[in-house]
Amino acid sequence: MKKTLILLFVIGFVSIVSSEVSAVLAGDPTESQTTVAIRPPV
Amino acid sequence: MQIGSLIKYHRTKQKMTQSELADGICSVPHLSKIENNSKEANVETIRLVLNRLEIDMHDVEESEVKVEELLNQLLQNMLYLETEKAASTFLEIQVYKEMVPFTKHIYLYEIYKLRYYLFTKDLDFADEQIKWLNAQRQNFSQHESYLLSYFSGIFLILRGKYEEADEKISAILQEYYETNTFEGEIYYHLALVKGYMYQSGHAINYGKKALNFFKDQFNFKRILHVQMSLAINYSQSKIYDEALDNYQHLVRNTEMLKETALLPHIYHNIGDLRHRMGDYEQALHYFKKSAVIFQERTENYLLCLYNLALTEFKLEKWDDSKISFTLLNKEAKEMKVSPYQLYSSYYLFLLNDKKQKAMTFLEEKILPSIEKADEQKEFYRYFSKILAEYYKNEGKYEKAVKYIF
Repeated sequence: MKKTLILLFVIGFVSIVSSEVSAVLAGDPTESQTTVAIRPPV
Repeated sequence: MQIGSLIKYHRTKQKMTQSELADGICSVPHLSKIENNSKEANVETIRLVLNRLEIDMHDVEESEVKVEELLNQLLQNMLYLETEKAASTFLEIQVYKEMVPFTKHIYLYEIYKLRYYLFTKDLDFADEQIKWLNAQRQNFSQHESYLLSYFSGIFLILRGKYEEADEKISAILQEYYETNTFEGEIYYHLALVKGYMYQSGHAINYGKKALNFFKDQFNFKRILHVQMSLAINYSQSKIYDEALDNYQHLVRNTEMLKETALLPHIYHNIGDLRHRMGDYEQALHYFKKSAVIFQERTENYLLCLYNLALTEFKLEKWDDSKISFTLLNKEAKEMKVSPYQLYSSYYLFLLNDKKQKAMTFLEEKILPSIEKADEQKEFYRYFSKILAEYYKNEGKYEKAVKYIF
């Protein structure tokens, strides 16, 4: 029973971390390589 | 006019003692009190003292009026971004430099001088001036105090310290009720700062407020700048139609006003917008159009080359991208702009099939060197994401999480 609970906890933790990574990296896999605009003068 | 201080200044300049100057006119203690501005002297005494010093009172009074006129003129020149006129007004004021400390404009003159250093981007002078002005702050009127806070906020923007600038300029809107002449400018600078901080909603809101003021003041150059800021922030918020609309207005207005220096920036930013929309062919077209007319040896030119090379990379035009990144690397090296040297080296590793080496370079060289540079924040975000993606694909989630920004 105790081992099952620990196993469930570990699976839960791994899936949370993994889904967090996927959520942040969702969309176009190369989206991060975007261009940068030139701001108007101060 | 601080007539006593003026008398003391000219007496010491002419190496005259108080008794020499007072001789036959008044007593030495009386002159001393006049010089310290602690006693109102009668007109006749002042006339005799000024005569002995060969100072014409009429000239003195005229100078005070002239200083006031020139300070107002300088302010207008700067608000309307009339670079050459501002430079010539600033020079003209220098003629009265010795007279200014004896007028009521002593601090306003020094505060406008700070604004002029910011206008000409002489940041080291501006830094010194801010330190001096802060030491005098207890003598300032409320208006002078507010101007110093506001101009210090502009200084922080130019130094890339956006959070601090935001705090300083936002506080002005809360603390001072009579921002009058500067209200449009304050909203404009807040729009810039919020844009840099990726708070596009706020940036658009402040931009629209600034636009109303500039329209009322017929400040056409600033109207162009606000349109540029609005377009960038619509683009960042993925409201692409509005962004495109603003850029179209911008191109039209820039050509109409013959503000051609702004054209390469606009073409460049349309390229940026098209890139964000996923329309890479069009993005490339605009980056090329911009690169041809950009003034070389400027940081904006380097940014343009970087975006052009990156778009070629996206379009898998490997040879073209390699040529562009190599050119960027060479130009950045000659200009001693290290971030672009690093970014181009990273892409050149990728283009030469050295992915592992590129990632190590990213992790060990690029990210640590730009981590604390406020002005490279945008690049820090992008390169962190690339590394996070890389480690995610490698199954190294712990490392991937470290680079999620």
